[in-house]
Amino acid sequence: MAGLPRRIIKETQRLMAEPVAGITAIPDEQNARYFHVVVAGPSQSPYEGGLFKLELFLPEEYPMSAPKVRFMTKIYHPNIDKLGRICLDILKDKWSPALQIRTVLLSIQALLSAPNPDDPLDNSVAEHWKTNEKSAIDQARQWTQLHAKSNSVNSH
Amino acid sequence: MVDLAKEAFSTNNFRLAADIYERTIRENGPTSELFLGLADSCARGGNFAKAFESYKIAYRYGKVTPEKLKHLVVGLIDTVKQDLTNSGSQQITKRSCMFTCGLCRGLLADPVTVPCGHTFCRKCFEKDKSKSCEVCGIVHYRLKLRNLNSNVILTNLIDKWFPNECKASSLKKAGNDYFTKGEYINAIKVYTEAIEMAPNDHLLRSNRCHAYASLDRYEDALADAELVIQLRPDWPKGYFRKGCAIYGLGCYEDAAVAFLQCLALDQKVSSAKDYLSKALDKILSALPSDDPKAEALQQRSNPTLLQQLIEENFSSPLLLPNISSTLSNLAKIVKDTINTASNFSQEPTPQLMVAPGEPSLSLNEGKVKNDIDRQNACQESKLKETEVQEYLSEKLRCNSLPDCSLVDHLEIKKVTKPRSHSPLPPSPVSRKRLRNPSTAQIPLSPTRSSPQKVLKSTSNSSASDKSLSPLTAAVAEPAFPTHMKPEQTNIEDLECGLCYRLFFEPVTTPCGHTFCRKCLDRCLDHTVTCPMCKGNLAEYLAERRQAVTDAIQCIMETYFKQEYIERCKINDEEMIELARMGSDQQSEIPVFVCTLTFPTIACPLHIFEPRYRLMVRQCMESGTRQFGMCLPSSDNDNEFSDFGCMLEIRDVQYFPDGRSVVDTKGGRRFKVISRGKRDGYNTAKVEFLSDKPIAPEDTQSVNALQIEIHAMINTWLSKLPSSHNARIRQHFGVLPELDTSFSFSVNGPAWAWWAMAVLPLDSRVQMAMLGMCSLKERLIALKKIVEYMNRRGSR
Repeated sequence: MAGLPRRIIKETQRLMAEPVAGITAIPDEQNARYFHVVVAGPSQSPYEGGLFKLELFLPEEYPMSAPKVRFMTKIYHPNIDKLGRICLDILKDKWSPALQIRTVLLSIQALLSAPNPDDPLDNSVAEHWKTNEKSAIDQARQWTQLHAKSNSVNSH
Repeated sequence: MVDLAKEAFSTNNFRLAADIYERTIRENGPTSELFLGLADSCARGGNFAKAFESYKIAYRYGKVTPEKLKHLVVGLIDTVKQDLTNSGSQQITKRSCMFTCGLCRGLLADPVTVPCGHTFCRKCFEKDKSKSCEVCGIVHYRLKLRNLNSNVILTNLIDKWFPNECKASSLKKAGNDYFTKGEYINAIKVYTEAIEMAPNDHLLRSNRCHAYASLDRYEDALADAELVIQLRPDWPKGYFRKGCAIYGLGCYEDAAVAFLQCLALDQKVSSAKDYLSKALDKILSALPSDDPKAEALQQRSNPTLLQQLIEENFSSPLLLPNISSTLSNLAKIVKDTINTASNFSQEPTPQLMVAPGEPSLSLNEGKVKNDIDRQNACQESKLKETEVQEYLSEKLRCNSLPDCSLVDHLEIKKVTKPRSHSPLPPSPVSRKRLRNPSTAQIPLSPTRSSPQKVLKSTSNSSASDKSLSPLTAAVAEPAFPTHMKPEQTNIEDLECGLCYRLFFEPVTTPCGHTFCRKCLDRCLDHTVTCPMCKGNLAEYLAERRQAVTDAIQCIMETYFKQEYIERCKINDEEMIELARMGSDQQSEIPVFVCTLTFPTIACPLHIFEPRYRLMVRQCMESGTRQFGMCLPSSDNDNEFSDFGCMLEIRDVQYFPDGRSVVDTKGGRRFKVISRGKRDGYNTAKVEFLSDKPIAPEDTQSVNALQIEIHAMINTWLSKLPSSHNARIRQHFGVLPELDTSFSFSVNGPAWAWWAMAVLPLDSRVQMAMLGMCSLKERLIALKKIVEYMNRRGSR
C-alpha cells in the first residue's frame, strides 16, 4: 500500500496547528488514518458540559469517499443511534471530496446544537423528541451527565 | 466592358480587371468611375504605385467619397498581413498572460475562464460578439457567459496582489459613467486620479485620451495615446487612439499610419478601417502640386516621414508618385509595430517582493531591466525617424524596383532591430512548457544587448533627452513600490482543494473553481457536481474539457517556480510508477475483476464503476494501455482468481456521462502471486505464463492433433443452429485458421483460444486451461471437450 497521501498529512498538520474550538482530533499512533476525537457539547444545547468521544477513520478511498465517524460516548440524540452511528447527509450521499475532517467535525458539532427528528436514525428517540420535546431534552441532559462528564468518559 | 471588369474583379482576377479598365479608359475616355475601378483593381492586386496614381486621377475627375476607398483599405491591410507572413514574424498569436485580459490587455476585472482555458474580463468577453477566444481562436458557440462564474482563485489573487490597481479600477468605472453621460471634464478628473494610483494602466490612459479627444483637446489626447502605446505596444486600440488624435490635429498621413498599425495587429477593427479610409481620402484629395495652395500643405509644421514622402512623391511634376517606396516604408513602420508587439509580454507585477532570496533578486533585475529597455525603446522610437530617413535616402538613390517586392523587405529586415520589452527575467524553459502547447508559444526572447542599440542610444543621448516628455520620464521610473511583504505570496493561494498540493494542470469549472485536472476527473467519476459548490458539471464532463487554465499555470511558473518544478517531479514519478505496471515480473498490474478472457480474443468492456474509470484513464495516461482481467473468486479469502489474462486497450469511446466502452484484446496470461489495492481498484503481483517449447520429436504429433481438433470444431460449428453461429461470429469473429508456426509462440495457436472462448464451458475448466503451459496438454483437454460436445450433439 502506498504511503499516506499528502492530503491526509496536510489536514492533520492543519488540525493540530489551528484546532477547531471545542473539538480535538488526534491521530492514532499506530494508524494515521484513525483519529481520536473529542467534541465538547455545544452551549445552550442539552449536551452542554459534556465531552463526547468519537472515532474517525479515513478509508482507503478518502477523500473520494467520506470519513467513517462514530460516537463512542453514549448520547441521546434523534440522529445518532445506540451504536453511535450518525445520520448526517455529508457523511453519506452529500459527501464531497472538497470537504475535510475539519468540516465534518464542525457539522457534527452543529448537529448536536440542532437535532433533526424529521430525519431520524433512532426512531424511538425521534418519536420522543417529536411528542414531548421538553422531556426528550431532559433525557438528553441526563445522559450527558451520566455518560459524558469529563472524568467519566465511558465507551461502549 | 465595365461589367466584364467588375466580374473579373469580383472573382479576384485583379490584373484582368485592371487591363479591361485601362482599355476602356483608352477607348471611352477618362471618367472618375473608371479610374476608381482601375485603382481598386491595382490596389487589390498589390500594385499600389499605380493604384495611388489612379486614385489621384479619379479624384481629379470627380467627387470621390471615403467609402469608395474601401478596396484600398482592404488592399493595404492585405499587404500588411502578407508582410507578416513573409517576415516570418507571424507570431502575433498572443502569448499566455497571468493577470492580463487577452482582450483589453488590462488587469483582469471580474475574470472568467472560458472552456479553452483562457481568461478574460467578463465585460470584455461580453462585448466580443464573435464568441471566439482572442488568444487561441477557438470559437465557443454554445457558451453562455451568464452561466460562467468568476474564477475564484484569480479574483482572490488579484485583490490581494494588486490593491491599488483594484482601487483604480473602481475609479475607472466612475469615470466611465461620467463619460457616458457626456461629462468629459469630470471623467478626465477621475481618470487622472486613477492614473496616479495605477500609472501603468494603459486602459485608464486610453479612456482619458478618448475623453480629451471628445473635448477636441487633441494634443493632450495624443500625449496619452503615445503613452498607451508605450505601455502596451501590442494593443491595437492604442494605435487607434493615436490615429484619432492625430486625425483631429489634421495630420492625415500620420493618422493613416497609426490606423494601419492598429489594423496590422487586429484586422477586425472596423472603426479603424473607417478612419483609415477617411484619412486616405483627405490625403488623396489633397491638392495637386500645381495648385498654389499646395505650398500651404508643405508648410505644415512637424512634417513626419510619411507626410514628407507622400508630399514629395505626390508633388512631383509628372504626378507619378513613387508610392512603392512610400509603401515599403509604411510597411516597415507597421512591421516594426508588429515586431514590437509580438516581442512584448508586459504583465503587471504585483506590489510585493519575495523574501530576500533568489526570486526577489530576479524580479528586481527584471524590473530594472525593463525600465532600461523601456527607456531604450522610447529613445529608439524617436530614433526611428532619422534611421528610416537614412535608409530611405539610400533607397531612393538606387531605387529601380517597381513595387515593394521581397528585396525591400529583406533590406528592411536588416534595419529593423529586435527590441526587448520583456519585463520578466528569461525563465529557464522547463519541460512542462514544452509539453504544454499554450505556453510553448512564448516567443524567443529578443537579443537584449545588441551592440548596435547600445551605440545608438549613447550617440543619440542628447536627442533623446530632449524628446523625453515629462510624462515619459515618469513612466520610466520604477512602476511599483517594492515592499517587503513575503507573506503575501502564499503557496496556499494556489493549492488544489482536493489533493492539497500546488495545482498540476489546473482546470477551471464553469462555476469558477479550479482543481488539478486529475483530481477533478476523479471526482467526476463519482458524481457530476463540483466538489466545491455542487454545481452541475454534466456539460463540462460531456465536452471532455482538458484545457489548462493558462493564467494560473503562468502564475505558478513565474512566482512559485521552485515549488512548481517540485510538483512536476512528483507527477512524473507518479506517472513512471503507473507506466512501470506490468513491465517486469516484480511490479504490480492493475486488475479488472469481471470475466475470463483469453489471449488474442477481443473483449469489449463497458466501464462505469468509478474505480475502473480511473483505472482505464491511468492506463491511457501512463501509456501502458493494458491491465489484467481476472474472474471474481468464489473463495472468501481472495477477491479474484489465481489466473488471468492481460487485456490490451485498442480503443476507448466515451459517453457524455463519463462512462466508456473499451475495446480490448487478450494478451499475455499470468498467475497471481499476491494481491493488493491502489486508488480503490485491485492490483496484483503476477508471473507471466508462456507455453513450454515443444520438443522436436513431438512437433509432428502436436500438429496432427491440432489439425484433427480444428476439423472437429468445424464439425461442431456446422451442427449448430445458424442463429447461434451468427451470434458467435458477431462476438468472436470466425474460427481462426490453423497456425503452423505454433511451436515458437508463447500462447499457442489463436484458434484454440477462440474455441475455448466459444465452447459452452464451465469457467473452472476455462481457468484450468488458461493456466496450462503445455500446448499438447491443452490440445488433449480440448479434444476431450469437443469430442463430448460432438457426441452430445449427435445424440
